[in-house]
Amino acid sequence: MAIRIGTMYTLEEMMRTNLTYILLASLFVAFSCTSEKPRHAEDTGKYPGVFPDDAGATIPPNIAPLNFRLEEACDELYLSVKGKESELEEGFRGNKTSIAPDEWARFLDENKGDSIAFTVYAKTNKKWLKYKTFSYFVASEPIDEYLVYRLLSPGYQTWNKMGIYQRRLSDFKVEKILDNKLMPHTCMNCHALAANNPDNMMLHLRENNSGTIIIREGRVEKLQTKTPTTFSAVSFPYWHPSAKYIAFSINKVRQIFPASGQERAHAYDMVSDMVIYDVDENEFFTSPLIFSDEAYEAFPCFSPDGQTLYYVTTQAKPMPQEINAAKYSLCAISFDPETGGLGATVDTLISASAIGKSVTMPRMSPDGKHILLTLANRGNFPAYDTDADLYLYHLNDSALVRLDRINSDQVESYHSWSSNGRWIIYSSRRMDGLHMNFYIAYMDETGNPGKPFLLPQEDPDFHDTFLYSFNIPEFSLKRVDVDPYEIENVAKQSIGAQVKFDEHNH
Amino acid sequence: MTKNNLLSRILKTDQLLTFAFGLVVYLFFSLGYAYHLHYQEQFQLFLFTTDYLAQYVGYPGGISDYLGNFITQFYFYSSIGAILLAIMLTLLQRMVWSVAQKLGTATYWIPLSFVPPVLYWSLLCDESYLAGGLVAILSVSAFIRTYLAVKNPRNRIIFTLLSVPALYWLAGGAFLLLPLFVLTREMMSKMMKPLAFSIFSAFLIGLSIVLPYLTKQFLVQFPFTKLLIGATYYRYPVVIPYSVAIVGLLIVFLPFLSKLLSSKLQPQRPAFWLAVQLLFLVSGSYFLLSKTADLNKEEVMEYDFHARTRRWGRILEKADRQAPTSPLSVTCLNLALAKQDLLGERMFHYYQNGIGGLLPDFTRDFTIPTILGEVYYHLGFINTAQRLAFEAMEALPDYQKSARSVMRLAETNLINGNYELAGKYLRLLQKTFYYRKWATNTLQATKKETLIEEHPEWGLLRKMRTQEDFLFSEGEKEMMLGTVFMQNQENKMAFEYLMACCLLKKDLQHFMEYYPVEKALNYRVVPKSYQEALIYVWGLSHNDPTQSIPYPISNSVKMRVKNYANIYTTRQNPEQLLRNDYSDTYWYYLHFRN
Repeated sequence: MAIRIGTMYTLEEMMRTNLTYILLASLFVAFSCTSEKPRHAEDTGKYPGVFPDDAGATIPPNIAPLNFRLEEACDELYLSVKGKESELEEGFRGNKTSIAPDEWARFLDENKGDSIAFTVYAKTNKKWLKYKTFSYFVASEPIDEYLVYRLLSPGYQTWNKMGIYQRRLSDFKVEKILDNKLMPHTCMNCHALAANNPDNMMLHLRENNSGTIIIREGRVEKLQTKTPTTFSAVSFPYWHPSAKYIAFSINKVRQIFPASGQERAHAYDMVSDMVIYDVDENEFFTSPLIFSDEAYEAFPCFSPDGQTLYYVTTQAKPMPQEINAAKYSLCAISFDPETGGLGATVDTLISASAIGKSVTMPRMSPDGKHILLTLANRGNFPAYDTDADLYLYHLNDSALVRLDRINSDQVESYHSWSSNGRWIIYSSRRMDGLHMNFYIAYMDETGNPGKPFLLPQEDPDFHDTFLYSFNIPEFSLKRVDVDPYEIENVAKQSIGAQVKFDEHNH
Repeated sequence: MTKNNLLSRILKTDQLLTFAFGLVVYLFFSLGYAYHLHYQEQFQLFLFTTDYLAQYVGYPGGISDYLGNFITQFYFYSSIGAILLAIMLTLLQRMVWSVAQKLGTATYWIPLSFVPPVLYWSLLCDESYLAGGLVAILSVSAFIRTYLAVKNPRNRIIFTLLSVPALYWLAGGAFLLLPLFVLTREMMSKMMKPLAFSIFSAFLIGLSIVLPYLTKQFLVQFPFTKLLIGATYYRYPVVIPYSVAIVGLLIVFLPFLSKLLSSKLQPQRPAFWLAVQLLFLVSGSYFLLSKTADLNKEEVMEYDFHARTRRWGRILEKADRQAPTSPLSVTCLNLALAKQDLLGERMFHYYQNGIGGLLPDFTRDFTIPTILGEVYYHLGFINTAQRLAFEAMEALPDYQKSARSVMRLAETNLINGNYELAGKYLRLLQKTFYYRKWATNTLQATKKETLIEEHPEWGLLRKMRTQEDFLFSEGEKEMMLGTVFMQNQENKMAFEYLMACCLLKKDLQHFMEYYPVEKALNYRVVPKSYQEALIYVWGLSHNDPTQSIPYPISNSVKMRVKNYANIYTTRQNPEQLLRNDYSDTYWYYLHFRN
């Protein structure tokens, strides 16, 4: 069955639509391409140069259209996508595709579990050229419906526009959760969802109206998390799968700026500890094993069964003098969700001194078999460390595998798992060395990744003028249903509930 | 001359007055306040793209902001900017006058119609007032005038009800002026029956109140204050522009006032009345503008503009006419001196205010990092120049990007060899009006590296840029300058800045340590300020420093130091006595400048 979209309406179909729709379609026809599949195209015998160049990637069956731009200018473009079960064809003016999401979604659904082949035809000076076919593989396993992320300028210390947004992954719909047009001079960061479910989520506000916002079952609360026992408010969060606890690191982060070289900035911890927040009791508790002056502990992550807390740690050092020596190891400590008790011993899973690298941002797969993490040359904020790459730690045999298929020669860092564990998303500066963009990759049960693809955009030229970085990608099973005005009201009207600190375990 | 003849002559002169007003506005902005226009232009990046347009049409007042930014891009040439401002302000005057005339104002009250544009003109003297606000006010005036042109009462009601939401989207909160005018007009004219007027008023007021609420609820997620204000009158969104509200109220009520005056006062000598009003208008305008025009800022902006456009000679000419005193002007002057190889020779010919006038500390705003970035760029601190360009752009409080910063980011990335990123910035600039050509030409350099190496500025800076990995440290400027110089000893500017740092900080110990390097730089003559410092240091341990000094000191300096020392050591109030003849010496700076 061939799905014909755009200009390919039959008369019968058009008769069924109402007048408005016909008018809109006519307008579309007027400004769209009228071509049919070229019959006498000259075969170039080469692959088309396209952006984004994701050919060969494995894609979810519910992802937005993979629009692309043909790098060579042309007057018209014709795309034929063939799957085992159906075919999708469409013509476009210019050198960019703009595939209709509904038809694309139907096409992917019909062809999941198999390859789909793209054939591109380009018309220049009234002559059609045909390029070699390239393909994608459509996985059977869907990706989570939404992505929650932050946009900010990839800069140094100052920012003027920032916000947290959600994107429906099956199309291009973006909604604001909060931004600093609504809350001027407020920095918003570290949004986190409990087990990819936005029923329990949180984010931090800094500078103006500062505090931690917790959203539970649609109820918005504000917390003040600086306590007499802790040196500052809490930072990097990770929800316990039960949504009863959130593990936080508390960091005093500083930045330094190299006057030469390609690295723009280094961020480092002056001090760092970890606490666990009991959401119902509005209370922090910790253990000397993760709250110590002798070590920096950061980036907590609970196992999916909630029985273990993973984190990275390094010996405390004078900073920034010892910045190059600050290499973090991956450690684990047991956790009892019933009592909130932390274990008495710490296991070192990856020793920084053994591998000569620094571990950061451990994120465990939902099946509990793997930990996706970043390895960098130093520290735990590899923002501009071009050696920062993603690795997979296999818990069954303690193997640490560099994921060459998804890494680049630029920074790869912040990452997360889809709820079914088959998809990972991570940020990378590979496009231009500065702006972070999201890449999605399939991950099979054994921890082998597929070729990644760039988060699709409606307009392939989107990145040409977009001066912001995509940051902190968090998959979400459903739409975050919270009114930005409610967050604004709570943030502005309330000082925030002061979190207590349980000294018992300290 | 009869009264009627006189009036008809005045009738002809109303256009003359408008023209004269426009001409004065033009002359003011093109000759006296041009650099404020350049300053504004650089802190926006108007793109001819649908995405850019979409950013603005999505909120009340956004279209005015968009049009304001469209106009501001032409400030690239201040004379064009001045023409546009003159046109907008004269249009505002013509609108107000036209409305007043339509209400029945006598011709000799025309000077009153100049009050709103003069007030707005005075607001525009503050560089934070943006053109979008004026567009919003003009739009409201146009709607008011159009309302008066509709004769049929029913059509007037329809026009008003349709215009209110349209104007809200076009101009933001200034739309309230339309219902205010309409209700005042309908109430005073009594053309509507009381019941109809009551219903119409209630509906209009209700509509005006409900519009921002509906917008907040269903269309745009903005703070409510922003939805009430709409257009960006002022660069800082937290500032509520009350002054614009006063101008707006004048636009509404001045025509009614002038009509009232016309009916109550019918002078025997209208020409005299006109002359008196004009006298008040001119003197009042002069007084107001002299209070609001900030010529000190204009001076800094001029120095910065010349530094940005590498007109070093213009900076020195200006400083020779009148030495700058504000730290940022001095920063630009010192940069110009260094670029002309004159820093060591002439820096103390001008007022120096310490290290803050040479390399000011970074602050999180958009002006200081922009100017400071110029200095670091020319010194070869490409990463620092890049950071400062970025920080300046991100510090813009009205969420805009900066054409100047993007241009600098393209340059620093080219020099650093980040061609992909440089290309991104250049492709962005290709979507502008004035920077398109430069961007298109420069894009070639991303594909052909020799174009960078052969470029007179980028090639040199690429050679001079810092190689050794060290951190930027605000508190260790001398160390950084020394490191950069040691990496490339052709970087004479870094050496001169290093020496200038020592001199300005009065750190003569380090000056003496670094001085021997001067020989490697093959100066024909040791720069004057160095000679003065050398002889001063030598004099600290020798009775007659002019006799035994081992450094090449000119006879003129030797002679002057003797005279200076004589006055300094023997007279009671040496500062005053030395000011005239010796304020251009390092000794004077050392002794009398903090």
